[in-house]
Amino acid sequence: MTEPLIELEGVGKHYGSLLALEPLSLSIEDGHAPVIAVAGESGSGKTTLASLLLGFQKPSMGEIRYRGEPLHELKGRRRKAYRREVQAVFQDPFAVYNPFYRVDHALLEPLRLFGLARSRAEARRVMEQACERVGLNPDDTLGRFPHQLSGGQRQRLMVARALLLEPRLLVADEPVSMIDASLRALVLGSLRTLNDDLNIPIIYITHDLTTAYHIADVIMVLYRGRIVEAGPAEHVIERPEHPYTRLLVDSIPWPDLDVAWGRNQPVLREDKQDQQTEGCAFVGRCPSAMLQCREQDPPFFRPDRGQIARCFLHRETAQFDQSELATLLGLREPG
Amino acid sequence: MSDGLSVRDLTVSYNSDDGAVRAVDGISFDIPAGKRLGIVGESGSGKTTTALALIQMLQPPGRCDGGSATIGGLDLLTISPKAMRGHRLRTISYIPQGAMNSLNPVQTIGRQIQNVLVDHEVGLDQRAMDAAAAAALAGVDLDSRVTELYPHELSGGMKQRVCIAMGMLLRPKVIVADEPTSALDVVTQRHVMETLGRQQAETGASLILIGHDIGLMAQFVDRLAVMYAGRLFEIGSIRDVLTGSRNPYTRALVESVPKLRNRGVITGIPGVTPSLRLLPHGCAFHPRCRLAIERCRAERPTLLGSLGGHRSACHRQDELG
Amino acid sequence: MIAADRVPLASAAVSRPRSQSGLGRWGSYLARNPSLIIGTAMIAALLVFALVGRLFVDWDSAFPLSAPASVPPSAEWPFGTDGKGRDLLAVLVYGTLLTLKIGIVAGLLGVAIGTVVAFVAAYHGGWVDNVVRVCVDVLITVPTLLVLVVIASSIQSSMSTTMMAVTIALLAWREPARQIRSQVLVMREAPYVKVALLNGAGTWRIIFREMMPNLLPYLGASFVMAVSQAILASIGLEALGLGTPAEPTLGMTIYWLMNESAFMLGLWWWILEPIAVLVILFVGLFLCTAGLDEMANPRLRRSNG
Repeated sequence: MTEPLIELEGVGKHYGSLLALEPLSLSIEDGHAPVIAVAGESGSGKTTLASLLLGFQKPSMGEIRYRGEPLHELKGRRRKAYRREVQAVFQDPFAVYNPFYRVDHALLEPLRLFGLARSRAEARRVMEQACERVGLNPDDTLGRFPHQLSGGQRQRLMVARALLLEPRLLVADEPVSMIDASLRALVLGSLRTLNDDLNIPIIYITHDLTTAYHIADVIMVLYRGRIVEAGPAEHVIERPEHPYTRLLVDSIPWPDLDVAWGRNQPVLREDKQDQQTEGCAFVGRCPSAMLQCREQDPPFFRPDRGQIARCFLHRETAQFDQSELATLLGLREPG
Repeated sequence: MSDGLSVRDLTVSYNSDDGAVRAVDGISFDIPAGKRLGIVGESGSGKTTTALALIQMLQPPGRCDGGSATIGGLDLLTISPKAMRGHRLRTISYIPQGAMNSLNPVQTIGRQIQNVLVDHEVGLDQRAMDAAAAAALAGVDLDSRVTELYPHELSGGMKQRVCIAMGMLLRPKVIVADEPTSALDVVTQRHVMETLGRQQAETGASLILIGHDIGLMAQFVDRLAVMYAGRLFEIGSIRDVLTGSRNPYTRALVESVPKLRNRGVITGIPGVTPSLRLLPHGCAFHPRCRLAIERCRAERPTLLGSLGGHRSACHRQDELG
Repeated sequence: MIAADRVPLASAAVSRPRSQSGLGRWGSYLARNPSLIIGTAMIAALLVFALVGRLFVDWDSAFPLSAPASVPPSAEWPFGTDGKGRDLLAVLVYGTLLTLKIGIVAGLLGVAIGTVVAFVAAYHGGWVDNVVRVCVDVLITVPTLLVLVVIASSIQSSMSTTMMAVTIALLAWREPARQIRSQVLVMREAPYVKVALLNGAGTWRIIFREMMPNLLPYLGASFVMAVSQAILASIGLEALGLGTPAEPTLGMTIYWLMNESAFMLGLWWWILEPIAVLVILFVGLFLCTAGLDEMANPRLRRSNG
């Protein structure tokens, strides 16, 4: 059996006394290709998770391994292989382009540095193919400066960049939050293309549950560095089990006059933060908080074989063993 | 219109290397007192420029070169910059996106609220000003002890609500809120918008909400205007526009927003937003429009319909209704 | 779209369909940056004066007794001569070149040292950065002329323009180091640098291919600033008599005219000419710095539609 592409073992991060990401164990193996949305507000730890996976930050605890080797000890060819296999698309489709160069630079550099094209002509052909696969006309995009393209074009070109590297994992960090609504679908579509063509998992980091609902297979909701709910996207959005997820879903302004905003719950004061160190992280804002929630951090429960929720409201149901997380997220065969 | 804001033929241009460009091209709308109008559009549609024109805050080389925006007999576009300073906050308030970052970091919230009262020569004594500040904060669900805090001690949503409190302090007749929640999380967004809505309803002001989020519009405004390439494409009650749109662009835009059904289906609008320097002939949307016919390429559609009703600019709107 | 909306009038440029060549962009940008153009023109005019002048006057005429003393401008001595019999045309031609040489050598050295220090500090981070930052902050409060006077007076016997340039460069790196360090810190976090990492680029490649090109306006502005400060410092030293007696720089000319009572003797040409050259030099350099600053700092940039 080959080593998993990426393995997180008890990986967590804190900044001083602030816990940014609670220790998490997960392995990403080749051959499974779910789109996993990691959703949460600012400060939920979703961006921390992304930058840990991309090796931009070192974990404060635990270890990340790439094909069996600790990530931060990779050298030479192994490091290069990791760089190529774990790719990303970022939020700001303008700032990812060096303003000094034409947009081609972002695609030519990796072809050159990873030795993926033997000649200029071959590089050009590979770039054109990648453009076409994300629905861009190469003649309209290549050779331009970043400011001459629309946000949607720039972002799709970033997807094309990832595509031509044939990575084994893509981290998409808020890829559409700065894109016009009418162009979002095209960017999301290009991510889907990449997911299908390369048969690789995508970690879709977002604060927007509406796009997560449509593009992701599974959603993992983070709150203050902790997973509070995870499971199939339609379950998590259509019938959320954790009070925090309910609050989030209920706060989405759906473009539907018959789905009123906050119809289920009164709005919670966002300034009513608590400094509770024991018990559930959400207890200070939770409308259903019980005494038990203040004393004890709830484990994961799995109410109906669908998603898991870290909440004592479901204490009557089966507890969920965290080592099964990869299976739940579709990263491993069940059993 | 005796009360409320009435905008006629508002036109904003700016000069560039390639000649003058129309950023806002002759748009007209009314907002009765106590009502909320949403203006949606994508980047470069002119929605923010419209807002800036109304408060005379266009940055050169942008300039307003036509039209009127009257409220109670006062034309906001033609009064002198000095007079405008007096009317800001008192007659018209502007809450920009990221307003919270405009708070002075070295002054307490209370002090900044009182500065508004002093600048506008409201003529209250210290105790009355303290009371006014506390009341303003109470109006946005903030405790009066917030007056003693500095901006960095508040969360983003709280700061944004402080800005709303300051914007509402002098009970303006018009509020222009330009993506007031764009940097905030959904839960906070809902709280801020509910606060803004309640304040507006209490003072009976007219409100313009500028934004790109049709969901937010659906939940908040009474009427919705859709802009594209500096032109007003459609305006009508929120229900008319969302469910009975007579404009293909509006329809495609509404379609492109993810909904709580048909999971996995999101459609987009192919093509790119045209450059204002090189607008297509005829209807600005025709290169991306599925319904485009020869007439759309040749002739620019005008906005049809009565001023307070449902109006759309499209040659084929009768087939859509 | 959110970012684009923040600059409402500029957002229309997003989908500009025409491709403009890089040169065209520079051309149209320069047209909106008159201070850079006027500044460059002034410095260029001085250079032309000095370089062309060199073809007509020789080095020896810039020294005493090469001409009758105190002759006002005339056909034979177009700039007149000074009290010791130097041809002022020769003095100004060679003085301009020598003074510019001091400025350019000191500026280059200063910016080079500053850039290296800045990159080491910003890239290494941690204690190295702290030490560098504190050192620069402390050194920046030290009055340049004071230190230079101490150094110059201890080595005065053998002072040449090159030595003077090196002496000035000893302190000229502080400001560039500080400015470039903060730029590098910002740039290091720029998304395009992260993309470069994902593209397999190593540290050197990121520094030279991704960061340096974007630093060019800053480096340019820092350089011009360092040049003008170095010239100012050299003139200060020379006017105090700590200059280069064997080389007729502009500063030495000022020293001589003060020392040799040009004011009392009423030799107006001797006073006005070097001052005119210095004014052109400093105003030109100032305009260049302002222009480059505007180019480097987008917030100062005039809206370009």
